[in-house]
Amino acid sequence: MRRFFLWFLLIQGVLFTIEMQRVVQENVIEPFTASLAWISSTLMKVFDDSVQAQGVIIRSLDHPFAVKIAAGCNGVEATIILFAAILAFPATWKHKALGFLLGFLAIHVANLARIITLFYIGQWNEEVFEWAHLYIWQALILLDVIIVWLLWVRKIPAPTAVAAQA
Amino acid sequence: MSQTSDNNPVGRFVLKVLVWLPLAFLVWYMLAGPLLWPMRPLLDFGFGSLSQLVDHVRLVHGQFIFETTLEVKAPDGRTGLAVVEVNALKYTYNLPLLVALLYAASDKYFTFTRLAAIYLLLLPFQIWGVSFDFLSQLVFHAGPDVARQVGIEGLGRELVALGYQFGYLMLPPISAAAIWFLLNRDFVLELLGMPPDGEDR
Repeated sequence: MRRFFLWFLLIQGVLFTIEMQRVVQENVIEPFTASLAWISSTLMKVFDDSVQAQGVIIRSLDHPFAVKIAAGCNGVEATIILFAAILAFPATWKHKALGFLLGFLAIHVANLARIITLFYIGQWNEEVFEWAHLYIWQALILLDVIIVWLLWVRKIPAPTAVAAQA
Repeated sequence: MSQTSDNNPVGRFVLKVLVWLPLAFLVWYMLAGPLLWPMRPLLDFGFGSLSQLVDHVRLVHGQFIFETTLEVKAPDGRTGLAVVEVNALKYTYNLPLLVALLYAASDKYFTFTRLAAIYLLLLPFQIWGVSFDFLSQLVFHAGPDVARQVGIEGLGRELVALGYQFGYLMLPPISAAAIWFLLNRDFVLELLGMPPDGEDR
């Protein structure tokens, strides 16, 4: 467990530093964030015609309100934490890949819920929006990461079995 | 019903976290002033006595107000001293989060001593966040005159940017998750369906 923990800290630090590089931001993070804005607005348009996405900004055509999906709101850091926890844990690459895929989906489904709820909370009450944005959803997304990781570890074979397969 | 929850320790744990989380957030917000207070003299010492960047640090409604010694020029030619505000709550929400995670794991944390220890464990991470927020505002947002007086250039600017992003985006959740994990190794092993002495994992 100690080794897992140290690897986890190292990997998340490395992944975060890579994420912060300008070339990664421009070529990966910003297009990905724009795609989140597009998916969120497409989902909202099912029940709300007044939503429009432009780049990383989602705006309401009925109310003078818009949200910009910025760093911390695109789920990338939560994904890094989960990926680091999966990478650091002893498992086969097949199981790790499955964990990445399902974990990525779980985090970003929750994150789409965060973006959509914040969009409507912000139109309703600015103070509640600040709370939900800065504290509540941050905590819930981390909880999501912890749940996914715990469930993943419970589903994969024990490390001795992993060693036997290798 | 009880048999179902016994077979699902992760679900039971998550439910307990969801019960504790709103309560922990409420208490944290109501006690924000006293909880942030110990950070003030530490920031005052670090940025005042040690680096001479700050004349005084005040705490007002969850915001640290840094009254700096750095001169700024207004467009009309008058000069004054730069004042920087930092929302400390952005860096301290890991406290209610960790408390909820710990209370969901075990009732042994229901003591004042342990709560105080948890608070102290998180304090360095919180100070990191507030400090780099302050520095990044000086270096990147207060104008070139202020940035020049701070004297952080080249690689130093990159490190301030990275330190700020890390302190804002990663440290609050990482610190809460890591301390929860370290304090509850046996409980985590139980959630993972492993024996308490599972050192090899």
